[in-house]
Order: sequence, then structure tokens, then C-alpha cells
Amino acid sequence: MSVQQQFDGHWFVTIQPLPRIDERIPLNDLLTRVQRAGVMLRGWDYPHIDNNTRNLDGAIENTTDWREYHERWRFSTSGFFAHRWRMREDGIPERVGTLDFINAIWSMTEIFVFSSRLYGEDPTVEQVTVSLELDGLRDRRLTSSPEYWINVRHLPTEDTFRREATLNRASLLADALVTPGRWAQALFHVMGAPGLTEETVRSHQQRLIERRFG
Amino acid sequence: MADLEEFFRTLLANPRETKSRDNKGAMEWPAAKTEGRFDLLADIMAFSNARDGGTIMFGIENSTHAPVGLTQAQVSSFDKSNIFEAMKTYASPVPDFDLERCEIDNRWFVAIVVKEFRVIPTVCSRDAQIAVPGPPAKQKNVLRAGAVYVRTDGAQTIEINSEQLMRDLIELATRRRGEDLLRQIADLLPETMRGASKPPAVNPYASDIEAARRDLSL
Repeated sequence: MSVQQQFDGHWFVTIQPLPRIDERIPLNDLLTRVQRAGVMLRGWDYPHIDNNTRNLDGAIENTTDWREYHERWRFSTSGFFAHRWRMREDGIPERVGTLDFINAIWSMTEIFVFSSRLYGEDPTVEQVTVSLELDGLRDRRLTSSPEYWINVRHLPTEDTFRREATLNRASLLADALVTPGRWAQALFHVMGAPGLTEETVRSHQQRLIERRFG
Repeated sequence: MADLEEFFRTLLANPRETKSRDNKGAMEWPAAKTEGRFDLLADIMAFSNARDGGTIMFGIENSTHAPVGLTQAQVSSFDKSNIFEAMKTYASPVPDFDLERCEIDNRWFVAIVVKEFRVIPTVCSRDAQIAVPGPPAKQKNVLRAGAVYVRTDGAQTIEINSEQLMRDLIELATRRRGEDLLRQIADLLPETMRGASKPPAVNPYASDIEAARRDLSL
């Protein structure tokens, strides 16, 4: 089996506003709602919106299939959001089978920033459950750059990493960095890098929020 | 730095101009008192007034999106302190931005990475005019004191000219202030009063999640 065939990792995210209200958002407002909540801090936005939105029964769906970007998301009138995307590292020949730790921190942070923008000021929402799943982790190497060297002691033996959190709306707005920061630390622990501190993770989150890439 | 290279590579891979992105071809930082220079200052002010800021990428052809790159002389013409001094003359508060350079596949590119305003939106603080050759010779206004520049969905920089655009900007400022206040309050609360809540005993979205797992295959 080639390296390319061996690694096929994905991220799967859901955002679930509570209580459930089936017609929380009118069908015609779904795309605008995602556009207004979208996170555009770095070169690729979250979620990426391509010009192919299709209407489903009570939802919209958007797909991107281009270079290393393979993703699909769905947004329903209940406010339920689900997003699946292929690990971009597996679409770049020299990075197959790896996971960049800064990109992982930034992706997790973008998910929560997006969630807070989607529901932070929606009075029909009391709580939001955010779930995250990464699969295809077994034997995947956590990587960094020369500027941010990390010590990786072993490759992960578990293939899937799952986390879920339910936050009230105020916490979602106030603490959009805390939960993803903790999840990132937990992920790196599983991937053989337990030494990454909360301060290190937070500093990279701040770099994203402040758009400091240099 | 690897993150910077990744940032540039992503921008090059996705060259479409948007509300948060503008492309300029191969050029130097314009000389003083030219329309091109004032247009760039207006762009920076507009990106400062946009959610998540924006990026002006130099070295990409506007119409074709071809990554033509810049010559060394063009790269050298971009100096952060010069741009900052120009902004200080015409913008209040002065937008926060970084000037980044990167070589990708033997071509050099420059990006002005503008941050969203921190507290209050950026306002143009001084008129700017350029001479238009005659006859008769006249002056053309290119920046207006008191103007608030914003980006449109059509990737244009314009002066706020509608109630909706003004409301959007006020909402952005208010929301930002509210989030900052919430963070300060959250810091004062004990751990037990913030953070995680209990999810419902039965997930009302169980079937949606199952359907999404099945349907969102790649």
C-alpha cells in the first residue's frame, strides 16, 4: 500500500444549537447566516463557501473539491451545522501522513469562533454543543516548523480522536479560545507530544486571532 | 518562517478577490501624491473596518490571477514605516497591519496583512487631492476627511454611502465591545459558573448527525 493510500484522514465537526427548533432559521437566510459568521483570518476561510450551494429539504449543502481542499458542509433550518473535510496534509505529496500542530490549533479555534458568531447573539439559543472527530490518526506524525519545534515521542496508536462540549451562549462568546485550546492539548497528547503547554497553545491561538503569520 | 510560507501559498492557491482580499499586480509602493497611493491607503482603512481584517497581495495579476511576482526593486520599495507614516497622516486611529514578504517557487510576493480595528473603526482624518492635468488644470479629491471606507461583497473599497453599511459597521464595533466585556466578566467568575454546561440526556440531533456522517462523504 502506498503512503498515499495508507493515509486518508478527516475532520468531522457538528454544531448543535439547543433547544432544538426545527424552523429556527428561514431557508432563504441559511447561506447569508454562514457568510456573516465565516472566519477569514488566514488564507482559507472557515467554512469555505464555494459557488455550488445546493438546496436540500430543510437545509443547504456546499462542496469544495480542489487541490488539497476537499470538504463538504451542511446547514439546516434547525441551525444544525455539520462539516467534514479531508486533512489537507494528505493532499500535499510531501506532507501525506502528517498533521501540522499549528494548523490543528488554528482549525479548532476557527470552529469555535465560527460557532460563537453563528449563535452568540441568537436569543433562541440557550446552549451550543460542538463536537469534533479526527479520524485517520494511527501512525500519523505530528509536525511543526523549525521556528516552533516540538518533541514527538511516539506515533498515535488510536485512529480516532473525539471531543464534545456544551457551552451556554455567554461562555461561547467569552471563551471561544479555551475549549479548543484544551482539545488541542489533548490531541497532541494522543499524538505523542504531551509537553505542549496551555501557554504555547494559547500563544498560537492569539497569533491567528491577531493575524500574525510572520 | 513556515507559517508565513503557508499563508502565502494558501493565498496564491486561492487568488479570488473578496471582501477580505485584494490583489495588485507587479508594482512598487506608489510615490507620494499619486492616486494609486491614496487608493491603497483607502484599501487599508477599509480592511481595518472589516470583520477579520483583510489582505492586499502584491504580485498577482488582477484580471488573470497569474502569480507574476515582483522584482527585487519592487519588493524593496515596500517599507512598513513609510506606509505607517502615510497612514498616520490620513487615518484615525491608524490601522494595525503587518508587511510580509515571501519567496514562493522563485517568485517574490508582498502582502499587507491588515487587522480588524481594535476598539473604534478607522476614519479618514484628512482630505487628499491630486492634480489632474488640464487645461484647465484642476484638483481631484481622492480621500475625504470624515469618510469611513469599507469593503463590499463585490470586493470594492467604497466610502460608506448607505444606512445598511453604517449599521453593519456599528454592529461590528458593538459586538466586539460586547465580547471584550464578556471576557472580562468571565475572568471574574469562578470556574464553576462558566465553561461547560450539561448536554441534554437525549441528543435531539442524533438523526441529523447520523445523516451527516453518511451523506458528507468525500
